Amino acid sequence: MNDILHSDLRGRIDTWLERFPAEHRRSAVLGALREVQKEYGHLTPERMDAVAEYLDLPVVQVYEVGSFYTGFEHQPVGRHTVAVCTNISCWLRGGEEMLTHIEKSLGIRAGESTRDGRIYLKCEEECLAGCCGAPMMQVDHVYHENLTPEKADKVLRALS
Amino acid sequence: MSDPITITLDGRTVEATAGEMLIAVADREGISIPRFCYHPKLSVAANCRMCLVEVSGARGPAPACSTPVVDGMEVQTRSEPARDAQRATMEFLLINHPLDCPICDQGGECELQDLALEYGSDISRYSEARRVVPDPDLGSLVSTDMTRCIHCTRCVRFTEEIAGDQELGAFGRGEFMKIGTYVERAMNSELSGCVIDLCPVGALNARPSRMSARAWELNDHPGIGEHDGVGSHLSRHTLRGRQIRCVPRTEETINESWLSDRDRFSYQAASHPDRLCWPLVRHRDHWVRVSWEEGLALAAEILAESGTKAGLIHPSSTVEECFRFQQLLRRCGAETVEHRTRMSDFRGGGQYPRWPTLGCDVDQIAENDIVVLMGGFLRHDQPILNHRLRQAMHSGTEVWIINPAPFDWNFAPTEKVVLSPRQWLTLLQSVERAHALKPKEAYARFSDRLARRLGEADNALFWLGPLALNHPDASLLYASAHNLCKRTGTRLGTLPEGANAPGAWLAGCVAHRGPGGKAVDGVDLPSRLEEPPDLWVFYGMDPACDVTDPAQMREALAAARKTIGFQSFVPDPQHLPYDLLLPILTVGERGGHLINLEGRWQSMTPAVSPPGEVRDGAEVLVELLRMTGHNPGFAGVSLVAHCRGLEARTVVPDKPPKDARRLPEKGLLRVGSPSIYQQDPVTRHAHALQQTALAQDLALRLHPETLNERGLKDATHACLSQNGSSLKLPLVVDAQIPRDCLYLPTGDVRLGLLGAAFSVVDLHDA
Repeated sequence: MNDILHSDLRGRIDTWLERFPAEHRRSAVLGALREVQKEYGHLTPERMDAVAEYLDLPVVQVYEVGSFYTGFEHQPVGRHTVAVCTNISCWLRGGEEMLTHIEKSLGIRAGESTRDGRIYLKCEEECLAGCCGAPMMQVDHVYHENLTPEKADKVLRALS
Repeated sequence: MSDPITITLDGRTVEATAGEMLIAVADREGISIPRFCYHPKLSVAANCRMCLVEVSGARGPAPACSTPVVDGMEVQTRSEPARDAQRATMEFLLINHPLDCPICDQGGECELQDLALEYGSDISRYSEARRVVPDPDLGSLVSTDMTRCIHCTRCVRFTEEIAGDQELGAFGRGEFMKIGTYVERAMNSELSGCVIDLCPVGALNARPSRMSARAWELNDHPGIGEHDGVGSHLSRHTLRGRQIRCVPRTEETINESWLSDRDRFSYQAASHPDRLCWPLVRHRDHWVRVSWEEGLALAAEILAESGTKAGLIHPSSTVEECFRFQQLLRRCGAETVEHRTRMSDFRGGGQYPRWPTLGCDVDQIAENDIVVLMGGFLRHDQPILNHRLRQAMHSGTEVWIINPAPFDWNFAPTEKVVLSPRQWLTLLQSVERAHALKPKEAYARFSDRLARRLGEADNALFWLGPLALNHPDASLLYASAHNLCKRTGTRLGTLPEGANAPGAWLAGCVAHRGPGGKAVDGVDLPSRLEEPPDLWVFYGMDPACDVTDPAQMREALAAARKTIGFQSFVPDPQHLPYDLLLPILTVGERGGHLINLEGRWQSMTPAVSPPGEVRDGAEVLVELLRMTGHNPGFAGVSLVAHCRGLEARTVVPDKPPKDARRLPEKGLLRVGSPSIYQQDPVTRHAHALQQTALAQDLALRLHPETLNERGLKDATHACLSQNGSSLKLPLVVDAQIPRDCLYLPTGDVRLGLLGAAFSVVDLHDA
């Protein structure tokens, strides 16, 4: 466990544990998994086992959380995560066409990462709650709204 | 919460308690509401939505399983809006269900099938792609067909709430949700088979009986669990004279609606390829089949011409078998008749009561303020008792555990000490001393704390488990525990092995006590092993595994003139020198009585006829009584009446022994008790149980320092030597094991002639 959860990472998980009563360690699962993903880029059964051991939970309860949220990756992915919303408002305003355009310009399909490991084009399953600026995409937790193909290309080109 | 209120259910005025769930009230009133995820013994999930009902004033249909009743509530369970909601739910559930009922084991006893008949539509409106889910491998006991799963999560909640070790989970979400283990691994729980009963569809089924019968072809035979002192109620399902499967029979006072895997899957032993089907006589190193006439004549001849005799019987034999066994052997002059074949300390036998008991009924365990267990791992020894203890712990009973190894408990005991068996007696004595002295300072020591809790508690129970009963100083431990209990007002219980230990005591299969506990002059087992008899007779127990010291038994067998076995399985003629083997009934074939550790008499009737020329051992024993010139008396029912009458006989326990300790004081001590599927010949022949990790794992557990001292720091395997025999075994390092001990389960045929547990052993490089 200590190999995966080094002392700095354990310290970050502890800040999540501090937010809940001592007997509710399970409440910190989500936070702990986010810290692990931030550290390593994606989750693996071994990393989730380490979290389970640290929080003193059955491994299954950690797997359940890790597999439920689409925010968690289970395979290695590109450095920058790009999600294009195709939910109803964006769809009405050309979200799907935007996704197709981005797929073409990156040369990958949604769910894949570019070969240079720069960009991961995530399959977004739900509305990203940016309807007033539809169509929109999220790049590493930053919203880019009222997209045009040119604007999208510019944002993607700027990513290192 | 406890105020009585009235509600209206389908126009009927009904009394209920505020806060009860609507579905529970309806069930009590005999109004059936369809459901899948709700189960009265599990937490409420409310995720199948099948139990939607109409509640007046509510904005939409409400799930009956998670709607608490309030005074004056008006509920319609079968109104048009309610039935619309139920039908709509059913339509959703059937979207992805494969409807492969004709090839599904659940077909005919399926909750989804039953409710689909009433609520399902004839035609599916869904024509899009359906879900297909891969089937995880959950091991040799539970089969999976996960495309059939409707995500009720009963199995997930069972593993978390009842089995106590969440092995199953729901992964992913929405359309992609899957029930399983996420990382492929077998279920390891001792109660895993219960998920088969709980699954309302055919997703989880019994793997050993997969595709072997249709539910409606099966005959149901009520029976009793034949492997532990709980005596779970069960049903054996048979088809054309063959046992197909076994399911629990609800008995709230014993096993509720659960059943241990050992009781559920042991039936496979009855059709094991090594089943003994005919009387066999040994000719040098092979078996020759003989007729019953020849076999019985030979047995009578051997009995008549042998001098000293000893008979050992398995403690899962019925009262009838035990009584006839001791009757035949004692009439023929045997000095040793014993069922405690794994016990090594027979001193002070007079101190024991008439028979061993739990000290309370199974359903009263939770009424205790504190339960103390010394020397036992209940998950393996008595799985249902472990479940009861776990539930008791969750309802406020304190559980204190003293063991030689930490063991993998499925609950966190109030206090748990891992203590070398060398210190158990001292511990009991210091608890007694602490109780007398009532120390005022902080209760820092375990013994002081335990003394205080036992003194304070109104209802306290102290259990001696198999590791204490088979300890070389068991008589001293018992005497000390008895004293402690007397002084602190604690009830003392013991947890011996077998399904009928109380019956074996009552019927007189004890060296120093005849039927009804009448004192007799007998030679105890250790003395008999020192000075082997002319004739050994074994009944339902395997002298290679079910004894304290297989090596010593082997020598005692070699020294004897003759050996007769009443057995259900054929041993290797080269390893066990039986002269004569007589085939007897095994699990599911036996009729008769078992007395559980509450002292409850439970009767069984045969579910199937035995194969070949197998006969009821009790009847064979009666025949042999006649052939050796003795009057067996008591025909049939009157034997049971006689044995029940024996219960009234008073047994006044003697004074405890004042004797020296026998456990060696120095050296590495090998400690162990049989693991869950090595407890009797039947489970050792149950194929699917033997394929589980619980049966296959055999390892030495010891402290890392114990290894370091022997220069085995990073070793994965080591050689264990004992009595000139040695065995290479895998190592498991466990810093909680006492430094002077190593833990190795017993009763396993793979241990060969390793000698007795609780002896000093040597460990060296493999």
